[in-house]
Order: sequence, then structure tokens, then C-alpha cells
Amino acid sequence: MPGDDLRFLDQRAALRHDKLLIRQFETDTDRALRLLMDASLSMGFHGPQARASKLAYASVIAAALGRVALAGGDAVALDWLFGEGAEPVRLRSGLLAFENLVHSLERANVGQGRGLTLEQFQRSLEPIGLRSRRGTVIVVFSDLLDLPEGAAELLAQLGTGGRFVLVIQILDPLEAEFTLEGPVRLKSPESGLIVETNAADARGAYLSALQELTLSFKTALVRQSGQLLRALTNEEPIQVARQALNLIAGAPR
Amino acid sequence: MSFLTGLALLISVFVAVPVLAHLLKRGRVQEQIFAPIQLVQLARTSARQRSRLDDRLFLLLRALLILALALLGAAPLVRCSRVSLARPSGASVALALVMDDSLSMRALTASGKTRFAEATTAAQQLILEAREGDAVAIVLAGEPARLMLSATTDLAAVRAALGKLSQSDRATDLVTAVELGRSAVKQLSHADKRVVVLSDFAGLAPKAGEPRVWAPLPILQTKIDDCAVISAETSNSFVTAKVACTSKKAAVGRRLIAVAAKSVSSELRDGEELGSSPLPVQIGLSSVSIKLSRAASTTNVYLDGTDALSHDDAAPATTQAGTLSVGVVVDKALGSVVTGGSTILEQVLGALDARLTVHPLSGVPEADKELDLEDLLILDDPAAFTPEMRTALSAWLSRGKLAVALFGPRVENAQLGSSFEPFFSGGASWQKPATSQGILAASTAWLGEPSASLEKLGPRGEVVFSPGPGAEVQASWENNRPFLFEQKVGRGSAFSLGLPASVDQSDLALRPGFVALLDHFVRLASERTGPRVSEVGRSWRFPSDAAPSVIGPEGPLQSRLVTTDAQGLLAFEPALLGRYQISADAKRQERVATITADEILNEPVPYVGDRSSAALAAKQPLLEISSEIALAALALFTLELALRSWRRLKLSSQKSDSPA
Repeated sequence: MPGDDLRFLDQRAALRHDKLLIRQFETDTDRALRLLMDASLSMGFHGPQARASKLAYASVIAAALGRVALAGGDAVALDWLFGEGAEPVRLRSGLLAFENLVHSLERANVGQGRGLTLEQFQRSLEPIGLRSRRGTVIVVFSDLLDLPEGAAELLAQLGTGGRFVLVIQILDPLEAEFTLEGPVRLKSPESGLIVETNAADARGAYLSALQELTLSFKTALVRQSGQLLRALTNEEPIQVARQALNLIAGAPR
Repeated sequence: MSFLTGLALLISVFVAVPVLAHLLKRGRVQEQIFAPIQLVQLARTSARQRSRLDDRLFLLLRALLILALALLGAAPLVRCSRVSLARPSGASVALALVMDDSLSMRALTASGKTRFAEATTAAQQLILEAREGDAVAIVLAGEPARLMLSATTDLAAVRAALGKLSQSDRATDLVTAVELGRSAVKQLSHADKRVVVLSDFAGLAPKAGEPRVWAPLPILQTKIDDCAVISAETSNSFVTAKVACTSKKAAVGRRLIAVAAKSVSSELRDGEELGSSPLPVQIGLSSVSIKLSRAASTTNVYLDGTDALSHDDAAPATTQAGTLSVGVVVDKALGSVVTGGSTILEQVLGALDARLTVHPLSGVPEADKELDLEDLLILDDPAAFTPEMRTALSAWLSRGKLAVALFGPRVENAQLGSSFEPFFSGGASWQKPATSQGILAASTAWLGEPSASLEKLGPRGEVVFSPGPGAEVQASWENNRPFLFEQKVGRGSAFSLGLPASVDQSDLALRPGFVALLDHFVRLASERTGPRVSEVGRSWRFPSDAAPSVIGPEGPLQSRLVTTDAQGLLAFEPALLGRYQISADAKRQERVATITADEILNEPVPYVGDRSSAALAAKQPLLEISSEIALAALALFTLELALRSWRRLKLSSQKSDSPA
């Protein structure tokens, strides 16, 4: 065929069959999956329209992705940002690895995550970067709300060296659409800060700010060939998992 | 107030309802855990402020609406009071409105309006209630009191006249004004006549009489803390000002400041400061001197700080050259008292409350140039005049000057070729003993009260005149012989008096009437020649052929020049204190109008009047205001609806603009 590489021309087969044949190769890939869960206090929020808290919802998707990866023979690891009783799971493959993964996801609770500096955040990401080999898929589950400024660039840098980073932004429908009405008193779960406002008046500015935040993470990730996927906790988790798998499948190798 | 009125007004208690509703609404706010709170904070401030603003606006609108409804409910019963006339007989009324346009009426009342504005409003309310057939006259009580509008039944003309009223810096002359008012309505056929005085009564109270006086505005009769600059005079490197204060409080911590005015017409407080001096803390009139850092062509003084009447806190300073110059020809041997010193004439002139400089002359000059400096010439017991003297006197008088001759025994010392022209053309003789003991009181009534003191002078003799044609007799002896007459000489006048000042010949010089007489001549001279400094309201007179023009603090004032008499003299009354630029006879002159100390120091005295005057007011004047309240309520309701619609539109547009 025009354009075929002549280096892979199989001379023996050509002599035997009197045809020009090109050799093609197929090798097994090593696509380790490393899951990074944000278990800050904000991930424990469970709005009235949501199926579960953001952490629980993220755990279901993480387990599903882990199951798919393990079924394909790839190794899976789990790391935590913040959280109480959250134990990391080392990179392993096989049935036992899935049980460890589920066990860790079930035991974890949300913990104080506010006040983390960028340096501390960088230090918590460093071991993940060091332990992730070329070809590793890193999936981050977070609402991206309590992360320090500059966290988007650090998360995106995990995608260097042949790795692929997918950030799944988990939001409660209340947070994503700000469906409150009338005068409201909003309280931060992290700091206890109270803001009193009229929901209708504040809606426009809030949605713009949220959009801007999301966009800043997406821009940083795309620059390093990463991806960002927003998931609302009232959506079907399987759909989100499927979208995540599609994005991973389309990732450059 | 009846039970129903109270009940209607009780509705206003419901003003508390929207307040409570707003408070409950604020307390009912739901609390929501919300992680991305920092994103809300960005929009919080403006949203919260707008929310509060809207809330308060709505709260205010609803509260006002409830109040308006409460008032509307009570409106047929609750009405507003105002100045109103009682008509006990139901017949037409003849009113003399005495409007006080003096300086003290510039003071502010508790409502923030000037006393004059309050008085004008009250007058307009009275006229609104006037019916067809009512007659109204308007008298202004600023000195000199004057009739602004003769009694008329044309109420439109009265309203127009009231609209033209303006404030002045005049003194108060209520006594004359009330008498003028009384005489204005006296001849009318109305059975019910009244004099309504709208004044602060800062001055002599009007005398009791008929028609009765009614003072419907007691709120004007309140004391004020005020300091005023009455006058100021520059001499060498000093400015000396007279300052009057009604209370120590008004004087505490204040300074009198002298400034060099940029121009004659500039504002009195503007200009480079030349010096200042603290104001003595005392009630009444005080003199304050300021040493000037440099000489200035035009100097003004003003008081720093504030008081109840700021208009009188500044005044132009005049120079000594601006005073009236009086030449006196008197034989010291005859005209002075035995103890020596100044002659009686000089002493009397010095006692006058006028700015004048007395120049004793050794005799009547024989050249008119020697008299150029004088504005008034007083001759005591002159002998007949030589032709040179007559020419000089006639030339000087014809330029609009004034001369007074107090003839005595020397009239008989006429020499050959001498005569008494220009005072009179005929002869004169000293008749001894006198045939009369005094002056006819009726003939000197124009002097006022002091005229009574001239009734018994005990003269040793009297001059028997033969006034020539054109002489106008102004006062007569008891036997109807002329005592005082005026002879016109060109633009000027020569007055002849039938007694000398010497106490050896009569008691004339010792009587108050003599002081009043000299004061009269000084005033006439001031009006003619321009006193440069005179009180507000004192008229300045000009010959009509002098083509005078006046520029005052308000600008050109040509329209205020009026013809006064058959001689065609033009008169102008300065109504405001300040500098005036006069152009007459192709000469420019600067004059200053000052206020009087009495106007400041005479405190308002509550006018009691007679008992019957209280009955002149309507018992409870009523005014229906239901329609106004209903309109206000409707406007408030419409405003709330409009605001709600606008807010809803804005919210919907915000929702559509917000990102999905």
C-alpha cells in the first residue's frame, strides 16, 4: 500500500507468496488507573435533589472505573486528599485489589480540608506523580471548590510524562444551578462563614463565578492534554462512568 | 377632636404592620449549607445593599400609604389652621394691611422662612378669604412708613401689590404706619374696619385707637441673637465701626474684619484682609477700631461667624471726606455762652446725630469759590450783605446749596448798597419788644413733637420781614407774621428765621424745637447735596436737569427715581444698605446707605393690643385637605406598583442573562 513503511516489509513471505507483505505488530499496553479522591467537608454535601452526597456519588463512579480497569487486567490505585479514615490503596491488579478499593471507599469520611496552602497541596500530589508511570490514567474526583489557587496547574501537571489526567467535577444540583429563592442565609461547611443574600439577586453573579472556576481548571487540563468532566449528583452514575471511559479511551497514548 | 376623628387617626397605628411584616420576613430567612460560598460573596455586597434599599423603600411607601389613609379617614374632621378673618356681622370688611419691610424682618423663624416671608404668606391667606366688597389698603412699615396701595376693592390689584413686595434694610416705623393704615380706611363706608399688622414689633408699639389693631402672627415676635455693623468710617490708618449686639452670645468669639474691596460694587465680604479686631462681648452699641495694614481706596468691614441675621454683618466704610460740611458764620461775642467755648450753634450742630463737619467762618465770603466746600451755610444774626457777598451767595445757592439765616437785631445795621438778597428782597426791622411770645404750633407741626417747645420763647424782640414774591412761609409767629420762610435761588434754597441763636434775645437756642429745626435743615442739605452717608430710607434729592442715575447693590435703579414736588426735584430712597454710585451733573459720586442701631437693638415686644382685638381672628379657621391627601395616597400606591413591576422586569432579565 502506498505509504507503508518499507522497514516492515516481510521478505520471506514475499518470496513464499509472491506478494509484498508488511508486518504489523500488536502489544499489550500498561494502562494503570490511579484514582484520586477529594474528601474535604464540602464533598459531604447532600442537596435535596441529589441521590447521595458528593463523596458517595464519586465513590460509586470510582468503584465502577476501578472494576472496568481491573477487568481489563490493569492495575488500580486509590489516593486521598483530606478525609477521615481514608486509606490509600496501592497499585494492584486482580480481584483482591477491587475488594481493597471498595473497602477503602466505604470507610472514608469527609474531613476538614480548608486552609490547605498551594505548597501543601503540591506536596500531597508529588508521591502520586512519582509513583505514576508513563501511560497511567489519573482520575481526580473533586468539587474543585476548596482547592487553593493554582491547584488547576498542579493537577494538570500530573498529566505530563505520558500520563493522562481526567478530573471529574462532582457538584450537587443546588450548587450547579443555585435553585434557591428569596432571602437566604448561606453557611460554609468548611469555615462556618455566613452570607445573607437574596437568592434571585445573587444567582447571576454566582453562576458566572462558578463557570469561571470550572473554565480555569478545564483550560489548565486541556493544555496538558487532560480532560474535565462535570457530574451532578442527581445524574445516573453509570452514564458518568461511561463518559469517563470514553474520555479515557480517546486519550493520547 | 371628636370620637370619629380619633378613630380615624387610630388607623395610623397600623403603620407598625408593614414594619412587623418586614421584620418577620427578615427573621424567616432559611439557612442553607453551601460550600461554594466564596463564589456568592463576590456578588453579596451589591445584592444585599440593593435588597435592603428596596426593602426600606417599600416599607416607607407602605407606612406613608397607611398614614395617608388614616388622615383621609379623618380629613372631613381634621383641618389645617391658618390666618383668617372673623366676620361677626357677616358684612364686608375694610382692611389696612401694615406690612413690615424693615431689616429685622429678615430674621428666620422656626420654620426656616424669613419673618417677611411669613408675613407675606399670612397677607396672601387673608386676601384669599376676602370677598367681593371687601376693601384692602397696603401700608409698608419700613421707615419712612408709606402707603403702597390705597384702599381698593380690586382684590386682583391687592394680590399683585403683595406679589411685588420686597424686603428692605429700613428701620421700623410702626406708629406712623398704623396711623397711615387707619387714615387709609377711615373714610370708607364699611362698618367693620381693621388694621392688620404683620410685623415683629421691633420698635415703638402702635398707639391704641380706631380701627383696632390686630397682630395675627405672634410667632414673629421672638427675640434673636444678632450683631450688626451699623456704620464704619476710615480715618488715616484706622477703621472705626459702630457695632450693635442684642446679646452677649451673639458677640462671643467674633471678630470685625476690614477688607480692601476689589471694586465699589463688589460683595462687601470679598477682598484682601487689611486687619481685624475682636468684638467686645457686650449688649448694645460699641465702637470697634481696626488698624489697617495698608491704605485702600475702598474699604469694607464685616463680622466673621454667624448669627440670626447675617445680612447686617457687613457694611461699607466711609471716609471723613464723605460727611456733610456746614459753614457757620457767627459773632462769637453774641453767639457764645458767657463761659466761652464753642458757640451755641456749633454746640447744637455737634449734638445732632448726623455726620457733619462744622466750619466756623469769620464772615460771609465775597467769592463763591470760598463756599465751594460747604454744603450748608448757617448765618447767625447777619447784617445786610454787600453786593459781592450777594453775588457769591446767589452763585453758590444756585448750584443746589442751602443757606439758613437767623436774623436778629443786626437787620437794622444795613449799610448803603447792602440788602438781604438772596434771602429776601424786601426790608426787615427788629421790633422790640416782641409782639408775640412764641411760634404758632400749627405752623410748625411738621417738626413733630419738639414744635411744642417753640410756643413760648420769651423773645425780647422779633424781626419783621417783608418777604418778596416767591417766598414760601413755613412757620409763623402767634400773630401770623412770618417766622420762617424759604426763598428759592436757582436749584438752592435760602431760609430766613426771625430770631437769632443768641440766648440774650430769646430762649430759642435752648429749646428742643431749635435742635429739631437745625436737624431739619441738615437733612434737607444732606438730601440735596448728597450726604455720602445716610440711613437707609432717607431720600436723596436731585435737580431734574442734573440727569441723575443711580447704581446700587441691586444694580441700576433708574426706576426708583421719582419726582417729588412742583420744583421737579427727583428723589431716590435707598432701600438696602451698601454703596451707591450716583451720576449727576456729569459728576460721579459715591454714597453709602447704613442701617440704624435702633432697628437692631429694639427687640420684638409681644404685642398685646386691646382685648377686643383678639376677636378679630376667626375662631378656628378651617381648610379642607381631603382631595390633596387622596391624591397623595393614590400617588403612593401607583409608585409602589411601578416599583414592583420594575423590580420584576429586572429580575427576569437577570435570569435570562445568567449562564446556564
